[in-house]
Amino acid sequence: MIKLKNLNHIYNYHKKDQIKALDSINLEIKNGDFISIIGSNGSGKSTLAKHMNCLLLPTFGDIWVDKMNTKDKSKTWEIRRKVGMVFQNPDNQIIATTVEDDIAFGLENIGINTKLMRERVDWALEVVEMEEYKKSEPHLLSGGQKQRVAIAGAIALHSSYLVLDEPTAMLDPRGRKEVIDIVKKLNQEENITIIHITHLMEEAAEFNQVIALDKGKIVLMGKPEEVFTQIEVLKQLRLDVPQITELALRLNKKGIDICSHILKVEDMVESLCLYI
Amino acid sequence: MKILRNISFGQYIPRDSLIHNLDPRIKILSCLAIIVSLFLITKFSGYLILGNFVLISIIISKVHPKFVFRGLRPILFIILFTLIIHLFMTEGKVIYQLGFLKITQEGLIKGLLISFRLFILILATSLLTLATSPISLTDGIERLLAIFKFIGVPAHEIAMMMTIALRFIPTLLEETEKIMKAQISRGADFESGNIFNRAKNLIPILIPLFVNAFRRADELAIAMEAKCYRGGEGRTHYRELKIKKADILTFTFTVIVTVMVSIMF
Amino acid sequence: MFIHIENMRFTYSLGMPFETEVLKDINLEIDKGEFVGLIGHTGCGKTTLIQHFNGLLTPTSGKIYVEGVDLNKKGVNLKLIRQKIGLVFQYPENQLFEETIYQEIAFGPKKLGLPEEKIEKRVREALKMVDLDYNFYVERSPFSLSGGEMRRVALASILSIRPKMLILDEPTANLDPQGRDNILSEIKKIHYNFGMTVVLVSHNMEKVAETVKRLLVMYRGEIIMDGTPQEIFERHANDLIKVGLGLPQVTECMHKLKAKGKDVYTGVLTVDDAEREVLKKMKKPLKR
Repeated sequence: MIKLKNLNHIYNYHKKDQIKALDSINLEIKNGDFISIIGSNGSGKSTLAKHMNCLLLPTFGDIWVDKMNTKDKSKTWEIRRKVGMVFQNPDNQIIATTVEDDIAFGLENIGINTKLMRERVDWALEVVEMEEYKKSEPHLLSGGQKQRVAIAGAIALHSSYLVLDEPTAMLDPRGRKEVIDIVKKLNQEENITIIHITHLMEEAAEFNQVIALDKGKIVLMGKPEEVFTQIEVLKQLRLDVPQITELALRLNKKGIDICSHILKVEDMVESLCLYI
Repeated sequence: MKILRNISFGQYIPRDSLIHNLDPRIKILSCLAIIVSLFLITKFSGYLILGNFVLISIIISKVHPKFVFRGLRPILFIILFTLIIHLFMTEGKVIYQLGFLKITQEGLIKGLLISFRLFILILATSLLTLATSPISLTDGIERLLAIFKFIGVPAHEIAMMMTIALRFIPTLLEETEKIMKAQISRGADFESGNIFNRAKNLIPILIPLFVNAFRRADELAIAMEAKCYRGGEGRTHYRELKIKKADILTFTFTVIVTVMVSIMF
Repeated sequence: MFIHIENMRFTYSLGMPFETEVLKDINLEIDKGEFVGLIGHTGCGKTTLIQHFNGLLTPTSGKIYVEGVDLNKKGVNLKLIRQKIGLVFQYPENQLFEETIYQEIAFGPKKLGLPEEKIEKRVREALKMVDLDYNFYVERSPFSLSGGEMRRVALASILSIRPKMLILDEPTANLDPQGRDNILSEIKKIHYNFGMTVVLVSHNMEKVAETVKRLLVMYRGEIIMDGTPQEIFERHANDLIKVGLGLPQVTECMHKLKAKGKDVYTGVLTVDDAEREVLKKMKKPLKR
């Protein structure tokens, strides 16, 4: 479990131009959760992500990863092993010159023996479905493939949590689908807790839980159908609303008896069939 | 404008050969042994033996000789230049005279010896880089440098820098091409003007390239830290280097050849 | 005819081991004043195609004309062509390099050899076109701006050469919803208010389809669809899915209704369109 209690982060705290990035966040992420975090630029979502892996420490408040406080310096490496991170730019997180060497990078860092390392690399490659690219050079891969390599590098450490900071922002629809499919698989088959940051609503709708951030605060939290029906709030947060949900709400307002919690096209089609 | 994306790292040519499968440390050390003895030899016969030794290695490596000799091309001018300098500048018995230019016997011998030396040196090092992947070359250098750790040689850091440089060369080339095209579309001109102007014209390429490279470095550092990177201490290696029988034999043979050649000639 | 392309092909690394045919037999005409969306996923050849428009790339075979001028005839002044066709690359903020925004936007006009007063006029005009206040921005460093603002400055630095046609490669990439909507509305305004011919290149069908008037869909080096967004969504929905582009949710919804035998118009682009269509086709009287 990752527990955040009264988490505050203020950039330049000891200087004049303070920027409050996170404002009293309280949150519990349970093992096996499948969460997406949405918010516009500057809402604090990246800052939040970096706290889960000790890349940033709270200005005030605490965060515990499996009961280990991130402020405890002796636990930093254990926390980083448990919480894998994937970042936005696929080019700037691949370190080695071949796919297999890159996946092994984290394992080398924690000093695992070579035999076990080879097994882990092969396992991670299989999970992200990139076995045939084991020996490839990263710059020849597509964006979606590079992100899958980055995911493999994180899970090879047998992390229990995976934090993905806008991993699809620079990808085309096909690349996005590749990443989301793998992330789903990791959650369902490997039971890895997923915290996925995005500003694409259709993507966030695929998760079990959605958290909306604005100005460093949690403003909405719940199941996708609960969050995405708050159209007014979302628009205020300068975020999109899934088209189908907006259509359902508008038709509802016009007096058509349609459930306003619709997120999937199929459900909409079924409901509309009764009227058309 | 060329597409730069498809270039490969270094000039490595993958083959399944004895030379390819040798431990990189053995290859580097053997190459060093050859280089050292090249500078000790003073007679043609010595070069002949070493030259043949390298040529046979090339054949064993299954790398087409044209790739090996391609490595000579950029250095050909230097070889020719030193030959000419020695031909005309060495005092001694004149064997040919053209105006005030004199070719001496000593000059001819010295020039040829030095040319042979450079020639074999390039062949040997070309073969090393052609038959060893950049990764294992980096690994080999790291392990070899580790011997000098006690005098403060940062072996791991050097190897890590080499790896990252190799990883980002294609990315940066691609980016350079893109920035160039973008600036041309904005009216920049990289083809006309004198040298001074041309250098000035490069600013619109260099600044964005540097700004982006710093951003990349920043993000890469965070990504490395997130993957538990904390320097070379306690780090294990994915690529295990093991000295095999073939390595010992090859190295022994190379040492015998080079030592004998150095002493005898 | 502003741009006219005949049987154009392009092959990268011709004669090399990794030779790849990126463009196969492109035929295309774009008129002055058009607002075109060029859609296709990464690697379909769309970026390669637009780099032919201003002579950055030369076709392997075939012809391309800009205002009747054959770009590959000897002695063609490509600088003049690049002045007519403003090409904005993907992530244009990555090409900024000057100390101030003024200098950044003045770069193009300066290269044209314009006198200082004319340059200033152009900088003012360009900043106005992208809705950035002249006095507030000119003396600032382009590197002090937010991502969305940087992109608008980069756009202004192309507009200041006063192109007749504007080509934008993925102008909304990596922006949040608000940044994306802002830049799209700037582009719309530039088209409608200044009569600019615009080509918008993207892999994101949804927002582009509601913005442009004509849609070109590329797949594996060919233009496989050409028509209004409505026509394409109505007639070629299945093909779009096949080539991995997907449909907006509301369009998908209409197609699925149609597949169930309902008589609905499937060329809907937006939630507004869909709402109107559903209300029009309601057969039962409304409850309540």
